[in-house]
Amino acid sequence: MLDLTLTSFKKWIFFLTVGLFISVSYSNPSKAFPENMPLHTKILWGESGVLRKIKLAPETRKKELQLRVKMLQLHQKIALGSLTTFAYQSYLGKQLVDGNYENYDLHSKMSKVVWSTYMVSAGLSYFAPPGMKYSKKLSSMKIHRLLSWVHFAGMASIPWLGYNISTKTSIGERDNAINLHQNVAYATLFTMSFSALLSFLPY
Amino acid sequence: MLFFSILFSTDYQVENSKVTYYGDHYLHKWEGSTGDIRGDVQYDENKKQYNCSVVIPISTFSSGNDSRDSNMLIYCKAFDFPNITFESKSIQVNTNTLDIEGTIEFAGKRKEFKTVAQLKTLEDDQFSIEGEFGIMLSEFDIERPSLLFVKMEDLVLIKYSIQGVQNE
Repeated sequence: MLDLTLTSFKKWIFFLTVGLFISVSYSNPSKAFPENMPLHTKILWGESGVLRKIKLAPETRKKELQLRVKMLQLHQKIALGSLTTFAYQSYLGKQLVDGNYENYDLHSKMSKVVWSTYMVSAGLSYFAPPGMKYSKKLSSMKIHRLLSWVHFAGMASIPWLGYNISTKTSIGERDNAINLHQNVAYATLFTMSFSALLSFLPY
Repeated sequence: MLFFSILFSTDYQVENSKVTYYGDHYLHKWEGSTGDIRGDVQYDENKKQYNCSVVIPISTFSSGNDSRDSNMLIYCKAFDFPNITFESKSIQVNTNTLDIEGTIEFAGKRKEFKTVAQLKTLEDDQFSIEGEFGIMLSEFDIERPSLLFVKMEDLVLIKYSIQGVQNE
């Protein structure tokens, strides 16, 4: 169990480190594009970005920003649905831990809904075209973006951690696997909720 | 009044000024400001009338939230109409106030409007005024952005602090 926890923890730390690294703003001397774009946005939407190379980018910055507004509006709505479903899913999970298996199938089915809606919502945000400016000042939206790597790592690992429970044969190992799955789910739910709250702040 | 006449018989350039808008949504209120305000105040001898024109690039407003500022450019049609302009039609000078009437052009729409400005400073070579007025976004055909399925309020309060410095 210790090995499993350590491996998962190492994977988490690796993912978070990479995530935080590519979330850090990088300067871009081009006048046509904003300075300090996050690296992943620069890779996709920079002057030589992937989406420009494969001719998927809109022709003008105006159209890009229109697309950005639509994608972020949709991101917001789907994320809210995903968060609400995830909160209910966590409640169902707690019932399973407490020995009530009545909703086992529902918990299993809903995990697919939560995961899919979360990933669609995340995709809409990560793949959105760049805004007009990215200041270096700390803001609620900057923390919102940084936190996304934490809950993304959590959401990416939760299905595997859930599957991992079914592979355990001894009660001790199974309890540990359940605890790990539950703790990662709670941490993910907490960071998602906090991230959502941040998006309601004025600055 | 003689003092006012002396003041407004020359041309002034707008400098060190600030315009702030106040947005309102049931979840939060916010404000965005700009100091990038260009314009002048002139006296028309023929019409015996003071004229004022002000231009503000929409992209210069900063609300402290880059994403909101970027989105605002789309909602305010800033790519097609990059500036907010104001042209006065009449400026009535009172003891401590100015009654200003004029036209504001925003997002490709022109609207008449009135405001009463407080005269804050009055010196030989400069003046400063402050005031506020409200605009309805719907009157300018601006689609209001929404958060959590609810749109922001239609009424946006605008506060201005304009300083004029005499042209050399």
